[in-house]
Amino acid sequence: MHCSDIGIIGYGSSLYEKVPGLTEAGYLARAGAAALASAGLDWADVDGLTVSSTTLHPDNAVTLAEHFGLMPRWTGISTSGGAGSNVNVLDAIQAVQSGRAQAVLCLAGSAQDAAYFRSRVNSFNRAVGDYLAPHGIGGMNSLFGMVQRRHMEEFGTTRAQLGRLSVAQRYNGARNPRALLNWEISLQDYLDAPVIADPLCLYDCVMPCSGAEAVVVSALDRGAEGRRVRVVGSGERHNYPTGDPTPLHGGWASFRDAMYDEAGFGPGDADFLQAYDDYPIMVAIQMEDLGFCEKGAIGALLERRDLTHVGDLPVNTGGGQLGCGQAGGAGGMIGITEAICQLFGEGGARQVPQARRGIVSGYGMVSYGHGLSATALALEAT
Amino acid sequence: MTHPSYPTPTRTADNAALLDAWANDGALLIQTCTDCGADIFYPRAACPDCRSTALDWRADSGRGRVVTYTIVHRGLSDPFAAEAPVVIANIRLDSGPSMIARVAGAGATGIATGDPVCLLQGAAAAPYPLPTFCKDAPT
Repeated sequence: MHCSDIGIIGYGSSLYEKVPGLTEAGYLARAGAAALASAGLDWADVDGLTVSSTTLHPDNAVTLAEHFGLMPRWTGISTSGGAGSNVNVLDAIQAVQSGRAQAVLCLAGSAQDAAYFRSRVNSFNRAVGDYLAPHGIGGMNSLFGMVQRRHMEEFGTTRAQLGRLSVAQRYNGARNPRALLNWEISLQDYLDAPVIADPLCLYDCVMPCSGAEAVVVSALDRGAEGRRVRVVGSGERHNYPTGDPTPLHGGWASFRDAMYDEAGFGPGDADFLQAYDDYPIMVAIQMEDLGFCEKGAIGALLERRDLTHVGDLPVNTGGGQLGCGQAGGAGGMIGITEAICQLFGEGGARQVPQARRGIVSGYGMVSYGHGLSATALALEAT
Repeated sequence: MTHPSYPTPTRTADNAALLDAWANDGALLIQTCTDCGADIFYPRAACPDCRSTALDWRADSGRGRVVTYTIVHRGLSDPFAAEAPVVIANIRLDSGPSMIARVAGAGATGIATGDPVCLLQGAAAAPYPLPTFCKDAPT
């Protein structure tokens, strides 16, 4: 999708908490209010609502509207986990294009503690519950442990190379006031961390937490000067590839060329990448599939590029989920809100100098072995 | 008998043959499509290659090789936490299809990519609710 007159005019986040002190609606309400304030709009302006959440069931976007006393003319809900907020934004743009809504509040978040998270990952969907959980897979860690080992053995990728992602993200997160893990770690800390699911160790894994993210989609002329971001390219692919439960590539490879053609810029022109970071190995695979390097060459790239917010290839400039924590469905939107923050020039201590263009990559809905959904947005400040 | 506190698959019309063959006979059945011949794992209601609903089952030797694996030390829920480390592998069966399964029995933690594996047999297999593998002698 390339849309020049409808886009994102506001963003916001709730507080993040290790132990939830609020309900899910409580986090979503705070993120929504912050995004509306950022857009210069009010709750009364909201006539479209989308939500992406891993913990909202049996509630949905419509019951959430009831909770907030909204009367939306259009709603949407994500079915693709951490890839879902990108889809919500694309759907919201189309809803505004078609006249079904004028101001869409896109929400994502969860209220969960570690025990709840552990029970949920064993029943994420039927394939996980029926064919993985009975083996004692230990949640998603074992699945991505297998992917990382395969990448290491097939391409020679090392833990020290992948660790540069974790170290850079923690550097960025230490400059983000709401990051729960807001202190830096060294590469040696990364390498010496306790083993979780060999070869994954502690700093490869996100910390489950609670919180929410939100953006406002509307006609760009409703946004203030300098606070208008266009979606100039996009991609979405589900259940790709098929047949291999631990693939080393995902759907991004199938759409990236079309997305860059649409956007008029490529990975070398982007000022930052916000990639879904459930594990550094998946950031690495997204970077390969999005064309930052050839398949299998990510280890060398990670060694020679500076991935911090002031570096030559800024990645997950707010710390991402590895720095902020993984607040369930919010994990799929944290890259969007961080991208908008950067493109509005409001990154503060973590601002990417002169950020004009960026890529946000989503990944989610882990089923039989790997995430089924891959999405991406190419964004441009106007 | 199956370990009393392992999570168990929900028995459905799609997977009953797989679960029964393993529980009763320690055997591995692979679902097949009678229209296009595809092997299917995990079991489905329709063939993921051609969408046919004319599906059947075939016996499999249960022999395969490790494509990749992980050894899970932490983050396991009960009752698996007490069994740590747990070895989980992507196994490509000699007959073609791939599956994720536990590797248990003697020497499981010494497994390596490319190693041959086979089904656990007899009493050693009984606790596991799904086909479970062990190291096989190299051929």
